[in-house]
Amino acid sequence: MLDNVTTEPEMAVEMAEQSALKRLIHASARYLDDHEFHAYLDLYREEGVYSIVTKAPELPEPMIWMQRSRAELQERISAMSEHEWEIAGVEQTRIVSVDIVEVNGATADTSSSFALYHTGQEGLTSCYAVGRYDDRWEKAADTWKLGNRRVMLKTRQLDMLSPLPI
Amino acid sequence: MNLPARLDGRTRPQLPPTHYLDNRIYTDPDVFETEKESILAGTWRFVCHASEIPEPFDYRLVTVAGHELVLVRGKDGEIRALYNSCAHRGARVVRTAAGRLEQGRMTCFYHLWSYDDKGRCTGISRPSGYRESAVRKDATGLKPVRVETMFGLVFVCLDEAAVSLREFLGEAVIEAMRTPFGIADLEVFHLHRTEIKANWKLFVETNYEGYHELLHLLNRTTGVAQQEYQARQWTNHKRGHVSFDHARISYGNLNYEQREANMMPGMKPNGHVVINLFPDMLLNCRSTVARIDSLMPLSPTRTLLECRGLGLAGDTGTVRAMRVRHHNQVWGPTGINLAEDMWAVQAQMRNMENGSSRYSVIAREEEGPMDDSSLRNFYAEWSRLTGCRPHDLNSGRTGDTGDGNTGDAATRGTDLNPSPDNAG
Ligand code: FES
Ligand SMILES: [Fe+2]
Repeated sequence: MLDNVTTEPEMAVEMAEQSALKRLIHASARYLDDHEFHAYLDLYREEGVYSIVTKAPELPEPMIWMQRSRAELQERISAMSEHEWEIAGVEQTRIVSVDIVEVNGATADTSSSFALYHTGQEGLTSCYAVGRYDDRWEKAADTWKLGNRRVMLKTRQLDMLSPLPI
Repeated sequence: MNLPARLDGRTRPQLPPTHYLDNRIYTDPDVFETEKESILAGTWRFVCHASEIPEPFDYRLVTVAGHELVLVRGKDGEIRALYNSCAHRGARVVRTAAGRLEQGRMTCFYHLWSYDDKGRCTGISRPSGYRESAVRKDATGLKPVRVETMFGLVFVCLDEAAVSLREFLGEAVIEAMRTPFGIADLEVFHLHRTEIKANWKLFVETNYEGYHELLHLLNRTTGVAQQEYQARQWTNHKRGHVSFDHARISYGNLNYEQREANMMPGMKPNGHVVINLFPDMLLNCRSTVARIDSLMPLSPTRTLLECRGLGLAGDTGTVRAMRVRHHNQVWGPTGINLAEDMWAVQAQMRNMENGSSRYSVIAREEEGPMDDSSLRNFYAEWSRLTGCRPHDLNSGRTGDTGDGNTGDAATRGTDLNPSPDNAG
């Protein structure tokens, strides 16, 4: 048998990994929508890092708008003031499409497009931001965990500002 | 001062006219048009930092009083501003936000007239068609606008008769700006815009008064409670500019990292500097990182806010990463303070727009950071330039009543000689 031919059982494993990762990406969006931050942060490795990056035509380098480790995210969210919750407390809905899943043994890279909608108290919905989640996953004890999520933000004019992850 | 008989936001306050505002200054379309002419087009306005167009032929589009300008660094290193409007039939000549002019030229896409880095017309297509008329390329160009820089901060002024930038700022303000803007070369690493659903002046006020520090968790926790902080005072400069005494911030109170190393030039450990240039340039430095806010008023009730974060040119990767981190902690779209300021002014605007709130009070007089004299200084200049009375739009134009604080001496602390005309 040739080395580079994927056997049927191997293909089945890969498809299982792919759908496991897709489920996790969709879960990450749902946890954020529902403000279930513990569950969200639990998707990360201990040393996992979250960042928001965007590129403006006026500056040569991409900008980092937020970069926090899992622990720092946790701390920031639990330290959010009443005001910050009042500002950020709109209903959120993320529509996510997982575009690329590349599994390489115990690591995987995924890239997903997202649109985040906000619904205010009056029931009015608007698109808040669009972009991509570029994720690096690592597998330990048979579970995929986020080592790095980079939110590549296309929207640069946000009409509500918040320290919550996008 | 007598206590007001009734203060409910709807009845004219029984206060000196300098100490309260007629909220229609935030909503009235005629006031907005007057401001556009006399303030937004009539004063020096910050448009960008020189580091944003570092090389010859680098350009950037900026908007001043609704006009789009091309800001371009010439072959000679000079920065020029030109109306981005073709001399032929008005098409937008440059159509991308920033870049480098190819071969130092701008070519209008419509009928292919071209211009150089100074705005001079370098080519008119099929010129023979103009043989019978007075159209000649050497008498054609993009209209230039005055540009001056101070410490790498680029300002433009649409009013050809206005005083120089130096005179507009005044020596005391220039001296105040030197730390941290005038000691070493700075560089912009952060730029974002957000539309605020509020009048531009409401946002300016958030940096012109210290009273609302009570709103901010950060300021309440790391600043306000300290003895030294309470001694901090505003200095009211002529032409409506203000500066706030330097203060030291206890970042540790909020479990934030202290800002004691790799500070911006001239800054003290954990130091904080605030300088506001009339009408809408708000400068802040928190020890390791600087922020510049400027505004593009779009209508009486909508404003585009532009925020920049600055570090030092030549920062190492580690130091820059630290500046970015410190910037994002307090400022930027995910920082703790900006969201609160936006939220506050939008909450005000709602009631001003629907008429529920007719008057605002700016009557605090005290030695310390929460004195309102800085706001009164802003409105004295606003009144001088617009000819409107900020406390009473119905009472007509002020003319030269001397309401403005344009004397040479800066004033510290509380009052600015309230006008005797008490409409109360
Ligand atoms: S409008 Fe520009 S060349 Fe005609
Ligand atoms: Fe503020």
